[in-house]
Amino acid sequence: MSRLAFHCRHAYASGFVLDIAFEIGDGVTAIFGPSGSGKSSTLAIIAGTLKPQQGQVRLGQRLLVDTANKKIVPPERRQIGCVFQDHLLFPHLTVEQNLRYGFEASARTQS
Amino acid sequence: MSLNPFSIDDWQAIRLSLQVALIATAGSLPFGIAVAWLLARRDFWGKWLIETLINLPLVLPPVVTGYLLLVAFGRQGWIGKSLDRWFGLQIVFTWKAAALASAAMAFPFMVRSIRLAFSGVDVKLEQAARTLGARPLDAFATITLPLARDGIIAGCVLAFARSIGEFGATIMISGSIPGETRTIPLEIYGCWNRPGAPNKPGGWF
Repeated sequence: MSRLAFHCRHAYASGFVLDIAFEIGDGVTAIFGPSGSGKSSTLAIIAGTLKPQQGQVRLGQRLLVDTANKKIVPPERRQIGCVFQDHLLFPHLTVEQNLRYGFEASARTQS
Repeated sequence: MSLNPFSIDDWQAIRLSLQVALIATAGSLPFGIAVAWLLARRDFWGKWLIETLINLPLVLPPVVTGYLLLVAFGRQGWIGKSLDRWFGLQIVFTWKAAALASAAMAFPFMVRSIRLAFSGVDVKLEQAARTLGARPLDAFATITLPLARDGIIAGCVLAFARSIGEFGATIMISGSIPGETRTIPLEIYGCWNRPGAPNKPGGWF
């Protein structure tokens, strides 16, 4: 079975339509393409910060997105790490607080 | 000339003004934050209507705003009637009405400032917090609110200042009852508006 199965369609108000389907196995996968082709949107759907209008995303045995059954796992329940394009630190927190944020927020969500 | 420039009535008005402005600001802050967040982060049908309603006190004469509040919150008004029936709460011509008038007049200033602050917080920071395991309210409390803090404080200061000076809407809905609804502006107006010689508020000035 593939590690990640991704089939999604999402139409933006601007007219751009993201329509992507792929399945990948273990190991490193790189996505490349011209800017504006939907790379970031694809990653945002996997991370959970973008809810696709239609589609299914499966990671291992877990179904993260299944719009047919109205199921979308919220990002805080996915445990998927995400490094954004620009170096993002929480500007109001210290370095230590930035490092601890993930542990502490997850602990609050699990409890 | 005494060392104390203010009469007992003046001090009463000052104390009342501070109390009314403080309650008006603190009471409207949760609503201000909620409405500002909706306007900054969400698109929905009827958004224009909410924006118009909130900003109405900016363009209407304060006396008209006070009249509208009186119509809504008066004993026969649709809100006032329900409050009276369900909670036994009467608002008009009490200090609560003065606080309500101040809150309504100051609300646009508060919302404007907090909304700008929320708009200035990068959505990506909120998303990063979510992927790190924070629930929506958690991310709001630990990331959005602290980053918008300055704008929220500015909104409160503006609202407080506007409340201290509120006159038109206050006199319409709460009258000018000494110790109950006679705030600083009403006290100043009252002193000059009594029959006979002008009785200056604050003898030093």
